[in-house]
Amino acid sequence: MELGLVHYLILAAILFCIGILGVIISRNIIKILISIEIMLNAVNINFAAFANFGDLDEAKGQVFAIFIMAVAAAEIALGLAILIACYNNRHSVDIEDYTSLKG
Amino acid sequence: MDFLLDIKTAMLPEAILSLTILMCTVLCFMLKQQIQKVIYIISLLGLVISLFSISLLAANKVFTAFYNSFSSDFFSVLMRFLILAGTLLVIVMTKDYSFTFKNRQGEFYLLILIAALGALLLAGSNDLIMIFIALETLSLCSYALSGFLKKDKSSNEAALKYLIFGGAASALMLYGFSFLYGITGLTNLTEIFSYLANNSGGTMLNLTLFTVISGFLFKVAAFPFHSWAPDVYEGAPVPVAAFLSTVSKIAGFAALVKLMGLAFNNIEIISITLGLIALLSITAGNFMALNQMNIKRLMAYSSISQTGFVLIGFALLSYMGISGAVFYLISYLIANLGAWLAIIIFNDQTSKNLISDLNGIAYNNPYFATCFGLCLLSLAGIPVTIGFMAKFYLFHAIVQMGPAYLWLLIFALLNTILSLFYYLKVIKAMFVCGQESINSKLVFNGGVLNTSFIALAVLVVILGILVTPFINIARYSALSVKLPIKQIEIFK
Repeated sequence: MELGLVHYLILAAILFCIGILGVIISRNIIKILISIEIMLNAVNINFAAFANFGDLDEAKGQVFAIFIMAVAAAEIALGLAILIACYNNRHSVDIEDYTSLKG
Repeated sequence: MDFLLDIKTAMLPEAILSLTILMCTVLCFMLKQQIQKVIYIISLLGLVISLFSISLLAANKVFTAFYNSFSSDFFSVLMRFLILAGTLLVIVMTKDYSFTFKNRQGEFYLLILIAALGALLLAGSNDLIMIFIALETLSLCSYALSGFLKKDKSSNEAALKYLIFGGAASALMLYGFSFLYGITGLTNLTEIFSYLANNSGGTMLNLTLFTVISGFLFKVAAFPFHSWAPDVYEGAPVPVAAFLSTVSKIAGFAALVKLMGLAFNNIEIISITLGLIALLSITAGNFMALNQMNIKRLMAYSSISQTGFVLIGFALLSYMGISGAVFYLISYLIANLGAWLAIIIFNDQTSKNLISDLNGIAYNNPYFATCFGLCLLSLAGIPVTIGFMAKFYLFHAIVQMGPAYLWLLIFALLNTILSLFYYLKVIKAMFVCGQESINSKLVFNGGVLNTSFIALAVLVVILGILVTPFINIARYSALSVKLPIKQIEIFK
């Protein structure tokens, strides 16, 4: 069997769903951040696949994927920095301990 | 040299702001902690110059830069003007507040300026990659800004929640972008629009549109993605909350307008969905605002419901609707910035945030109470203020669309009445609660904060009377937007 566009799309869709599920159900904040990364990587697979199968001349999708990687790295660095600031104040990485803002 | 010419014709304010940012970055490292207030002055100057440079942009023609990924039409010029004016006032707000940042004042202004740059680029972007980069520039700075009080537990928590929600929403938006790219093979918005005008795009396009829109619904805090707003507004430093509820929101709406042209083949379903989102935002915001004690949380829920009103203009998918939304945004910017200025003046002097702390403030300081009251009345849509004219113009746009949108009109009217309850609650606390219950003392001095506060309150009334030029600007800007329907002839 030859790998076609659909296979890549299905893989990306499965990864994206895993990411969404991870954001919704995990309690550990680091796990949530990693789930967001998984979602972004699913998007990267989509872009690379579309560029490879439909847009060979310009490969704009691959350019887009590189941009996403760079921004995702910045985002995760910022996320971990914020998490460290939070951890210094509360000594917990459990999302259920962060409930002081409510109303 | 083409490159420089592009920048001169299309991106002058952005270029000036970038230079200001570079200068502030250098100064941030060079200056001693005690004299970092200089950065406040430099960032103000940079913003004022870039605000003036907007008038040099020719508004009657479309100019593009960076290989068509940035386009400057009249709509984006207007939005960029609003963004810069909003940022200017937000920086003015920090004048007496910045002592809370201790020795990191310079960084705060730097982050605000970069976020404003992201907002400007978002308002003019014409390419999926540009939209993504601009949106993330704005978002990443907003996350850092809302967690700026490092030792403060609620500020940390606000930043964390904002980052998690924002990351998930932008991933969802990117997933939509990837399919948009897959369907069309293009990333330039103008090319995508002309592709969609000639091809059907299939059923996949519907799903794609909703995921694409979700990223912007998050930025403007509309219904299914609104839950971050109250927490972040409460936890973040007050000027940052003001920034998020005005500048960041305007940028999100500007990008949303640019994407409206995507709805070419499914006008009805997009229109109905946006209408429902608008209604649910208004209703959810209003009901949750009713029993808030904290003034910052109240403003957060009020801004959710105001978002809903702007979205009504989008849901109509007509030029009249877009011009209504633009005019509503102008009135929202003025009144909301006024209200946040009142909150920060109050917070600077008393460090309190509850509505009950405002009790009887009118006896103590009538100017403050009157101006704050005017801004709130404008948000509620009471006559003589600009907010009333904005709501009136928006409802007029709904009526023009005929009986199909009657449900939208009825619910919007009912919600306008509902919103009076919580705005009047604050006004009642200030004016009606007797002298014996005064909780706080407020001194009135002629500083820049109070001056701009009074200026905004006066503007709320004056623009409520001299409304015609602003409606004309809104109509003119709507004409430069690409919409799926051809009805320019009727509109003119």
